[in-house]
Amino acid sequence: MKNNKSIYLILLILFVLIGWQFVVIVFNLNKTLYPTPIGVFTSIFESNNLFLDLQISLLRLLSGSVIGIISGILFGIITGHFSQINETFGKFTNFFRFIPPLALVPLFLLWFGIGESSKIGLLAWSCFFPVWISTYNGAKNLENKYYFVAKSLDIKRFYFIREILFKGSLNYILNGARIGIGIAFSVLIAAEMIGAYAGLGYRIFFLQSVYRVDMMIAYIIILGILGIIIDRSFVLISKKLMPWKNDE
Amino acid sequence: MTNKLIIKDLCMRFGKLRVLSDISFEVKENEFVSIIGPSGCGKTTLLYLIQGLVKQTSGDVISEGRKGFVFQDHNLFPWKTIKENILIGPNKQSNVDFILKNVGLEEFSDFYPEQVSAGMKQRAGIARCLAYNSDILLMDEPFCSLDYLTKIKVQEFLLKLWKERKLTILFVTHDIEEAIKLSDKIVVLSKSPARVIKIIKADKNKSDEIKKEILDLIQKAPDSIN
Repeated sequence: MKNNKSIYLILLILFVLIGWQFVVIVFNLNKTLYPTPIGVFTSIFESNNLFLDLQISLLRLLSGSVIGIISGILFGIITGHFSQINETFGKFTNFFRFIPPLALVPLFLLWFGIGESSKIGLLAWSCFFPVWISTYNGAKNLENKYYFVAKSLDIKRFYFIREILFKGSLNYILNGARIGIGIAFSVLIAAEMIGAYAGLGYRIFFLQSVYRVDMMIAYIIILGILGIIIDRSFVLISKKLMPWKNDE
Repeated sequence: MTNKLIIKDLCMRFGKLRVLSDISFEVKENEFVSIIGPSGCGKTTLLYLIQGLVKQTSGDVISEGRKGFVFQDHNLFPWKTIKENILIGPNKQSNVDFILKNVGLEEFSDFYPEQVSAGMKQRAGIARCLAYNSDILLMDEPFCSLDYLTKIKVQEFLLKLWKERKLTILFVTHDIEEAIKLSDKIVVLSKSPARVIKIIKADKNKSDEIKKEILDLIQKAPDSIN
């Protein structure tokens, strides 16, 4: 059954590619502006910078996301568990959640320059909020009964936070991280377009100025594939970190 | 025999609502005592108070030894294996393997709670208390959600464990037959706000008479004024 579904998907992709090639040739479109799929594919081999750009963008994404995820988890656990902290720091921080991260790109570039700090800072910011809110919800939604179990076994606060609150919120945390990385990915490309000398976003913007639409499209497709790989990786990581959910 | 547990004039209010009214009784060392009463009378609240999970309005709970609580729905952590659930908490015994064997769960130690049966989950809940070095077990209707055959098996397992480890057990149930079968004595509570109507010796040979007496006591107990 699964093989049948894969075949249909492959056929659909082939149909789209053939259709695209057909439309460009039959309607005699300007191949510089509207390259064929074959043109897009062959342009990859002309690119000297692809691996460098991939490496730089991924490194930025990873660094920024890790900082954002860790700080989001810590803040989520603290605000979810200590209501007084949530009433002050939590509500204050909540205001910043509604600022679209893309609006901060020019400001971060001015403050932190075109170097790595501005990009990583932006990505950490973008990733932080979804992870914070998800972790907070996970901590808040921990069923009362587990508090009673902890109390009946004389479990101390730190152990409770580590073994029960955190691990019990893992599902929420991972969902938040998945969303956070998705947002960070978009912000990364935008930030690289405006203020960088290398990276996937920078390269797409540069290729526009030299009219290499074929390579632009190749890079855009690679972005899409990268996004799928990151998302699928998350699913695998979730399965590994939450083996008790594998039977569900 | 010394007293392991003394409950003295225990009262509980939630705001204006009086739930427990001057509850007093004693549980001796190695005794198996059941608490029985109508649904909603406050049996679970009473047990929570005795364990110290909730603070009483007035009255005392005096105990000697460590109390372990077995919850109605086992309350195992889904993200921990059976063995990890039993070991939860710092300062746990290192002989968890012995406990697992004792409760018949050694083959399931690396399984997650959702992968084992309801009866096994309850046994794991009991094992958790044993690993906590409890010599007093407070059990809140632990077998009420089990099917008949599983219930019989787990009841036999509990009695065996009680004798072997010389435990003191306070067992809340709404099942009069279960109370008579398992216990040395039965504390009968009235409707809410619950008070102790009578404490009856659970003579297995007079099972029908005791059952009738308990039903009469509960039905005829006057409603207390809130």
